[in-house]
Amino acid sequence: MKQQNAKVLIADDEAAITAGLSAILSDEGYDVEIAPDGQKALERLSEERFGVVLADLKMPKLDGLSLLRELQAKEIPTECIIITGQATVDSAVQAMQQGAYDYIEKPLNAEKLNRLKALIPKAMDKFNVQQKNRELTSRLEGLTHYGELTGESEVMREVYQVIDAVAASTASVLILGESGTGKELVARAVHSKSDRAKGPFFALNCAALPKEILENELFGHEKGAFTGSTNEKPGAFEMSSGGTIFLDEVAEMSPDIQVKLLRALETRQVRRLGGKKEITVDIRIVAATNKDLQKALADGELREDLYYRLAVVQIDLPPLRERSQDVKLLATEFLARYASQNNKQISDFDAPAWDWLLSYHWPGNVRELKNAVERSVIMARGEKIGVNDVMPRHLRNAGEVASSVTIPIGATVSDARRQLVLRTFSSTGGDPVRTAKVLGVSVDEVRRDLVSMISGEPGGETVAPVAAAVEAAPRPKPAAAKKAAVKKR
Amino acid sequence: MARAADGVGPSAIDALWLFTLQRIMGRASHEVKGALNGISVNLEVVRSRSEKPDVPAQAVTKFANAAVDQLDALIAMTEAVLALARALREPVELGLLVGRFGALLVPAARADGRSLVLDDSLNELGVTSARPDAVRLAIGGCLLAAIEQSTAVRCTARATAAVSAPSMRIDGSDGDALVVDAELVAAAAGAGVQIVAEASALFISFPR
Repeated sequence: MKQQNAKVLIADDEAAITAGLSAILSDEGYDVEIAPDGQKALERLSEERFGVVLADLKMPKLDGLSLLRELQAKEIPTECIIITGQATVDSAVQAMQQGAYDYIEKPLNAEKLNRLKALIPKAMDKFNVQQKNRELTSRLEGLTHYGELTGESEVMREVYQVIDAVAASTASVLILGESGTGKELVARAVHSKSDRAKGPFFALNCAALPKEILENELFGHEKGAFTGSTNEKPGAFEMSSGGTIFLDEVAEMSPDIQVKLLRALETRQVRRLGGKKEITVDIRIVAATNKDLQKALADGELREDLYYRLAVVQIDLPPLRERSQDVKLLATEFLARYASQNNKQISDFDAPAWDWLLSYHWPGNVRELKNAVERSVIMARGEKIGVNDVMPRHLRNAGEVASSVTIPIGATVSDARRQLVLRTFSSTGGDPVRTAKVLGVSVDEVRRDLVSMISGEPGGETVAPVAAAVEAAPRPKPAAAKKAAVKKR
Repeated sequence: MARAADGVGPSAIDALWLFTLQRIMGRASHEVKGALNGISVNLEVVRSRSEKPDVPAQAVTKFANAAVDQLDALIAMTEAVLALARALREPVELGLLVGRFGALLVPAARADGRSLVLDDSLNELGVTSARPDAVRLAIGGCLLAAIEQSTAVRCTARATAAVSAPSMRIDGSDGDALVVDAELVAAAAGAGVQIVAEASALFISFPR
């Protein structure tokens, strides 16, 4: 297979061989250059991209293996075929271990030259694929958004890369991810980056609809197909023809519909309910599930043949806890969006709120974060959102509080002590005895600290639940407990 | 420094020669293989281009000529290997023998970024009556030692056929004293071939 403008570098000190080899490869359509030693070869490879380098194992200045090592160390992209006159198993294995594409033993007789001619296009293909990936990676580097997706973490950039690579094809895509990770956004990105972007995008949640309705939604029906069907209705396959159909929670589909879906995928033809006519459709299927697929397959909930049809390309969408570096970016975006939508002048989260946002494990993923930020924007009174605005009530009540204490520069030792006592007191659910045990102080000391906060001494800080707990404790004075209802900053 | 010793017999010369020949072959093998590969590759160009229609002659000639040159070099090296490996006849033609070593060592030295120059005056050395195996060992061992110890070596005749004791001089380029294995010197001396090392030169004298 000839590849136009594919560059090959021959690194060999034997002019008698290189001239002939160059002629043979030029006749094959390659753009060939010769480097008389390993050092020159390295210089040329550093200056220009060569898809393939044919390197003699024994060369002056820098031998073939050293050249390979340098290429690896300097991350110079090329595929190296080692030509060796000393074809010991050791040197061949060493060359392959160091990243050589392959090796050819001398003497370069007609058989070996034919092998070389067959090897070079394959090596060139590998180089081209990797080059494309490098370009893609470089293009995606620094990217914080892709379609409607937000994230600058490595795992999300990998997702962007897969979407970018698969979008242009017609391959079916299966998206795996927990609820709230943004599976539909990925499906939309696959659609919008594809040649079908101008066609329809049709999303259906297979878990949300009863079997009969889902079947009707997918395949449509003819007039009179069932009681009350007074008009014909095209299904999602017909309506999304020329575009993309997104089937969310596909593993929840009943076995009967899975068979019909499989058939539609294989034949690209559908038949309406009550209809006899096969309707050809031009669709791209993107499916998603949050189920444990191995279990769903093992339990027979998802047909294996359907799985293989759907998962031509599989995209694993990471949960938010596995890309915690994206939380800040997402929270900031949601804050700006909802502040604008609600006409509120909110600029940021305060430090404890950020602590909590960044340390919480977000079981509901991006959706939970989005809802938490939206709620906090609505509830917030000041310019900054506090931890109690953003933390869901059920977590506050359950005593799930930040596991760390932020002490600002300038705070006194007493302030720091009170903060620590307060947080520990909250984390124990308001138990002064356990608080004392955790802190290694006496219960009296804990009570004294809590009362000092409630009575409004400098640096004191408390919240309503603390007041209630202190109130319930035997010693604090009732007068002090009343003051605790006032939140002090 | 070289030193002479008595009482070294043919078996010692044979053993030393085998060791010397192995080292010479080690240096020359890359060149022999290079010539073989060159011939193979260039003939493949000739063959494949000849199969194509409308290929101009000059597109083939260059590679055919290269193959011929490589074949000539290969023939010279092969003849040298065959001549050096078999028993020599008496009397030994010194210029011819030095030329055989040159056929193998000159290209090998060049491939290593070194040089070995054999002066034309060597052809005037004539013959020696010394035992052929000792003469071969002395010349081969000294040339090899000089190449291994110096980047540029020049070999000249110190005497012509008109002089009773022909001798040759091997000069290194780096100013360092050239050293020859004492066993080799002793073995050659036992057969009447004297090897003397002086500064960066080696002198070999043969009985007429």
